[in-house]
Amino acid sequence: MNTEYDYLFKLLLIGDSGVGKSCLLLRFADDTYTDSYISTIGVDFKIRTLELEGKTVKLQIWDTAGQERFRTITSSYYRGAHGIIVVYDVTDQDTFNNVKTWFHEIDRYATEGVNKLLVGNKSDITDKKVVEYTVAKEFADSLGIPFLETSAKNATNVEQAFLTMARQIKERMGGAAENTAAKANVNLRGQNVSQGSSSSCC
Amino acid sequence: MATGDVSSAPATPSSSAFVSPESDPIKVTDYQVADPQFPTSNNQLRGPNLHLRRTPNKSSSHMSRRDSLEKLERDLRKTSSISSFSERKSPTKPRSRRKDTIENFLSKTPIILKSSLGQLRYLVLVEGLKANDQAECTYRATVWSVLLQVPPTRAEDYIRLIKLGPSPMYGKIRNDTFRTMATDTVFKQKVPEDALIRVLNSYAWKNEMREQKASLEEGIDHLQKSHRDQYVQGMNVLAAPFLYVCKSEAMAFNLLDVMLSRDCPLYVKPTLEGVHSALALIDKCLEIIDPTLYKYLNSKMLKAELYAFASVLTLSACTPPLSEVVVLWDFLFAYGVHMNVLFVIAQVNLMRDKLLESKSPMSLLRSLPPLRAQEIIKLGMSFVAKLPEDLYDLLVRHPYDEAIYEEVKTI
Repeated sequence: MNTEYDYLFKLLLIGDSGVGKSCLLLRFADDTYTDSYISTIGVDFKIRTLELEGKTVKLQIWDTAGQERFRTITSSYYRGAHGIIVVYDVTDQDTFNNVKTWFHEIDRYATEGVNKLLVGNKSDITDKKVVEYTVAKEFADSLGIPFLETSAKNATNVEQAFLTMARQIKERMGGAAENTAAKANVNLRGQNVSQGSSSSCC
Repeated sequence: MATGDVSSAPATPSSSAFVSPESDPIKVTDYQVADPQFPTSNNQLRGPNLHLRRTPNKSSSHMSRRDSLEKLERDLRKTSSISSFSERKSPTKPRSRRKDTIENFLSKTPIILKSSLGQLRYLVLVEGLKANDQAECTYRATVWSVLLQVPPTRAEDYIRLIKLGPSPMYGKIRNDTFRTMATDTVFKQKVPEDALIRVLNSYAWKNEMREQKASLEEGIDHLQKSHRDQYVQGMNVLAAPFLYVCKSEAMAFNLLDVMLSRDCPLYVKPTLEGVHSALALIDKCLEIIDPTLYKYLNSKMLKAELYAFASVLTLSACTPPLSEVVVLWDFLFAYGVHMNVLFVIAQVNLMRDKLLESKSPMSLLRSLPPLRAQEIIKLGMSFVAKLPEDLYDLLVRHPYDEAIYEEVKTI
């Protein structure tokens, strides 16, 4: 067994194009905020290892292009995910309206029981905020999923969002996960591969 | 061949279109009138030569092989009756500096079009386009339009597309234009976001019309078809170098339109099947070219789909600097866009030692190192000889030939 970590969780960031998925990823994994050269094309991912309740958890976070046309590609990444974060932009009503569609995508493609989290990003732009916290919170409550407003720009709640997700997955997996499910050698598309653990991705 | 602007169209909208980024860039009314002196239908460049792209593309496959060169020569002679690029002197541009080889070549009227094209391709390969003090090549747009065989056109067609106003893709386009080469200050200074929006919006309209026409010809009601996106993320990155290089917006639009619709239509189809073919080809070719690296990446489950998607879809333009992208594109337009697949492998191969040492190679592959065009071209060309003929044939055809999609999936 690989001794570098106790758990390997795969997280997926989804949501409309331009809501700040890549920026959230960059903030969480590298603690930076930079303007990107171009928008995400296809898929991208980053790794961050953290300590959670005395255990080392390796998070492999997948970032996907938001445009519908990429969904045929991105949907294949749902299956291997332990947790999925749906992101919208608090300054853009449309991106919140589309959140429902994104949850449908999860129902369609992800493993049953996958952990979900709703995130309203760009909370720093207070003067242009159009999606009220209470509205989004009510919606998230109706689905029984946690909700957070974040700002990748000033780092508000970003750490909390990913930690919430990781903690939830760990709870769901229970002790069993430590040596099996979440730690098994699963390739990026969720297919089990029978190779040594050292050959896991990244 | 024309010396000055190949585009006759001084189609750059008046500066009023650019003053405010907040203003709607689609509402452009104040255009300069196209040069009435200049011929509008330069059919010599079209017509019988249009099919020529395929042949040289294919023949490029065997650049290193003598038999293919001879075949190219034969092909070129077959159509030797066509001699055409009408010469156009540029009276307004006094040149004080010495012209270089390619510039000289461009200023001469070719006797035989095809062989001249062949010569130009060769010059691009061995001489390269020379940059001036500002690290720019003043005649690159001309070379691109000759290599892509896009004749000069009036700006009117482009203006007509702009007058159609926002296309159904407008919102999506605007969502990406402001983050196109966003950290490249030279690009941002040179190419206004509005120009990028207009070019992409016009392409969306034009493609919509093209599909409507095709549907009519097939007897299918276009409206019955499921709505098709005429813009895909990445097209913005493909449009950027054209706007960066061309002197007019209309010219940039024409070059982009021809390249996308003729040379790599499958890269921008709704299903992106050409991109998927290219990714499968990268895996296959890497396995042959560099088995050690392939095995190592494969052991980490790193397929091209993960690290090469953007580089394929954008013909490597997603990796800065733009000054190197345009050099790569000189070659792609001369020998065929399929060569980008080998350029992506070359980029990965240049990182070989670091990748093999790294425990997590994906962290290195997330964004490829800054482009070094000359090295990539040299390396990419050297790969050609290593590939079996049938695989190379698939490589050449994958961006435009739908018939091979299934075949590629099984390699």
